[in-house]
Amino acid sequence: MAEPLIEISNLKKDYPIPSKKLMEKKWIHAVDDINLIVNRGESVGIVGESGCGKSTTGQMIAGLLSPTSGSIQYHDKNGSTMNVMNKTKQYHRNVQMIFQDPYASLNPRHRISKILEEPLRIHKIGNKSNRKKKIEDILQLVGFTPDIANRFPHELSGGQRQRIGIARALMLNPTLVIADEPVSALDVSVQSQILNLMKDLQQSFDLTYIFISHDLHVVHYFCDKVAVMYFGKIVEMGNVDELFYHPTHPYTKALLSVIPTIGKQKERIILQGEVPNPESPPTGCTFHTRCPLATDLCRTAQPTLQTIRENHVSACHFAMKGEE
Amino acid sequence: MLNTKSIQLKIGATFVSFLFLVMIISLFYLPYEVNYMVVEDRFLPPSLEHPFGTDNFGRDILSRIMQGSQTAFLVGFTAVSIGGIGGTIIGAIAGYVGGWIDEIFMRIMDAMMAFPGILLALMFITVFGSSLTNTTIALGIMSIPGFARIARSGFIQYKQFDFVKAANGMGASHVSIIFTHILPNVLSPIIVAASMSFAGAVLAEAGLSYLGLGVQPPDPSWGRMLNEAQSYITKAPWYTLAPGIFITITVLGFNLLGDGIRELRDPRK
Amino acid sequence: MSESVLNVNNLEVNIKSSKGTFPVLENISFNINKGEIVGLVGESGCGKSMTSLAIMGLLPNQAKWTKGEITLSSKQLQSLSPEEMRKLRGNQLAMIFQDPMTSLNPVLTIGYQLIESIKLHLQYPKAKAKTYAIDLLTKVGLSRADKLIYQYPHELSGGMRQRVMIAMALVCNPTLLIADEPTTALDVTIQAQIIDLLKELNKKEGTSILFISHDLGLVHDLCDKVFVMYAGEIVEQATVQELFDNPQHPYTKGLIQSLPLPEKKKERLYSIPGTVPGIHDRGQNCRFSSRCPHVTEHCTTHHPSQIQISKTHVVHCFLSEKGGTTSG
Repeated sequence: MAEPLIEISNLKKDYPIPSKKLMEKKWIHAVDDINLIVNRGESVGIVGESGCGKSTTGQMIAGLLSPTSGSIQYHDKNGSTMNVMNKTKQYHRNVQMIFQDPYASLNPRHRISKILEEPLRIHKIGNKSNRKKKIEDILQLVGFTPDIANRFPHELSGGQRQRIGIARALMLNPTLVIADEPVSALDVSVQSQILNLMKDLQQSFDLTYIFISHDLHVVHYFCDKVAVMYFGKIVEMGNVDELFYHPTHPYTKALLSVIPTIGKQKERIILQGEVPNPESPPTGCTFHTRCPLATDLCRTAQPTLQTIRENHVSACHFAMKGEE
Repeated sequence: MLNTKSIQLKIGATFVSFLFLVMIISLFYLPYEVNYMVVEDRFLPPSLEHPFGTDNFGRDILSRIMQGSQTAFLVGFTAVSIGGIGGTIIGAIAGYVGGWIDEIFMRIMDAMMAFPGILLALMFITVFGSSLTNTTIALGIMSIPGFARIARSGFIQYKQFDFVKAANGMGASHVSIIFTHILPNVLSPIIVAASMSFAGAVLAEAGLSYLGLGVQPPDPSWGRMLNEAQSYITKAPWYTLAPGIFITITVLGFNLLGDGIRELRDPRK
Repeated sequence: MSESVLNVNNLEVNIKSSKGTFPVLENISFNINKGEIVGLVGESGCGKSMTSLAIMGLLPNQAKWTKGEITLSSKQLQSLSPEEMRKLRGNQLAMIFQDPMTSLNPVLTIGYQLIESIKLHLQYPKAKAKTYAIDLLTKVGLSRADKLIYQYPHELSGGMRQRVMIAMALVCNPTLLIADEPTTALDVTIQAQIIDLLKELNKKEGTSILFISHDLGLVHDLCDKVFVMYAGEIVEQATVQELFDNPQHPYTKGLIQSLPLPEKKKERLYSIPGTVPGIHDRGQNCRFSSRCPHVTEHCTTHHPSQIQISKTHVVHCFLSEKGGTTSG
């Protein structure tokens, strides 16, 4: 039976924006009421375009940003529950992050050994010799020989750095790893190497992944479950095969139709316009400004996530239509 | 292949170590007593006895230059320390904490910057009396805003880097993030600014002394020497030349050194 | 036979570094016909951008064109003076880049930049230039173009800025448009819009496009022909159909196999072992030999020459020499 590891309920993040009027505070809703359950051992993908709130969500789960409201709960193996709001060291030990830009995510002034030792130092784990041992073990796991420990990040290629970033995330034996676009900055051949590595590590460390990406191919390949975000909300969520082969939300359909693929030609749905300005969000369904199926209902009433089938929810007034 | 930047560093380092050497020697040995006047030896041109000639009171210029180097180093070092340390702390807090603390700190810095530096120093001297110590403190305070801005922008920039976020995600403390992750990266431009500001401080001291507000006569200072020398520029050109050259070497040396250090501290090199 | 727009023959470009002079591009030969969309794919550092800069005559200072000819509509580019080259760039050759923000001047309005370019190249009077600018912006799918010309680059989204860049490239109706990763910085839905626009321009105006990208899928969707580059050389060229149905070079095969496609969900992805040889250690061997699963002794000592698979399919690999390999 699936055992929930992370439970996100009604998560919101607002950012203040400068207003033309003095003393008036305006807010944009970067993440708007998200509910998500991540089970132990799963890989959950969060996909969407830039500015949809996927990275903000990831950073809130990692404890890097404080939510405006809502809760993120972490269920430990022994049944106890931690709340991310408390930002305990214990939470950080269990939840680690991998970043997109392998050039910016490693301190350029530190040697690899120092970079990898930092998590152990912060959590006061081990002494000098067993820290060194641990670093060597992890380096081997991600495919390096121990002598790389004396190098600086700039001496490594993008793919090698990303492996160091992964190694750092694993130093504390975390349960959950949040990977924010981990392969977007890499070349195809290196990308496959990193994806393989992440899958291997999932096996050997019993990891749970939250995989944030704009690349639907990668998410489909890598994840078990996926949530599609648009304008701060989850618009469709479900089992990855189910959702990718039978999308019901027009946004998901459009996204899937335009990803470049090799092989079969398919009908492409090209969305008009762009994501609306978050300062003046559209009424009703936020997607109605670009939706080819929009009706008056969509312009006034905001759809909620409704169950389409087992393990598949969609936030569209007409999601059920195609299913009948 | 020859690296132009390393040439800068070499020249800068040579100039600065030369000055430093002069200063050290002056602590133990001076050719003549600096205020020893020989009326009949007024305006002697450079010779073996007086390599830089003598001034309007018949004092040995070389000895006075050497003695003046102590003043220059003292003023430069103290002023830069005050400015550099104070500015970095203020800038780091403003940049790292952000929000209204940043606003308040930086508006104060702006106010200080809006004030002409020399004017601030003059005010300080007027209130606390004119002495070398007061001049130095005034110069140090004057240079705080510059350092604060550099430190602040560096902190803001590096605060957003993924490696800082990663440290945050591991549960690192603020102290650890500031000192192990951000400060070492921000230090380069601060050191460069410090070495250039050293030159600036020496120049400003020379300027203030030139106006008669720094070092009090008869104690020698390069700025005061230049001031006195200008009255006799046609009669004894070497008198202006000596302090002029030393001020130039100092300014140039420290500027080149600053550029060189910037290059040297880049781990990518 | 259709008319050739761009012909590159045996191009070689050297780059000077502190360790000496090294070739970044070698034996680059290809042809683009009128009305074709040609993809140039390869991973970072393979020399695809350098190739486009060589064609544009915009090579960086350390890089030097040492050998070969580039012919643009029967004009030899290497014999042109910098002044003539500059004229050519505005008129027959145009280029769009990955980041439309840095390609536009942030302190000038869209209209000003576009109108200046029109006045410069076509000597139109101001009023006519303005109408033409609005026409161009409408043509690239921007609505309210008459308002848009008074806006600044930062007021537009990434997709709109890229459209503006395309409009600027179209001022003189160029015969060849070079697009260097034009959609890499954009979201998928916006990318689809831009790709559609490029297709439409190609169809309506007959503009030939050299499309540089690292994304095989995108090249597959858009292009007629593909050149695959590896370590400064073109290793395979073919029509899209041929390349994806019957890839010949082990590198091309590796690239295609390493794509994370849904069908492969349960499998491990193929990944090409090793790394691209740096420009300092490229010898007289097959450049891919250090990473190739089918490497033979011969590959490590000899440089493969061109093997004709079909009229439109050329590969540089000893494996294809025996004429035996057809499996994917």
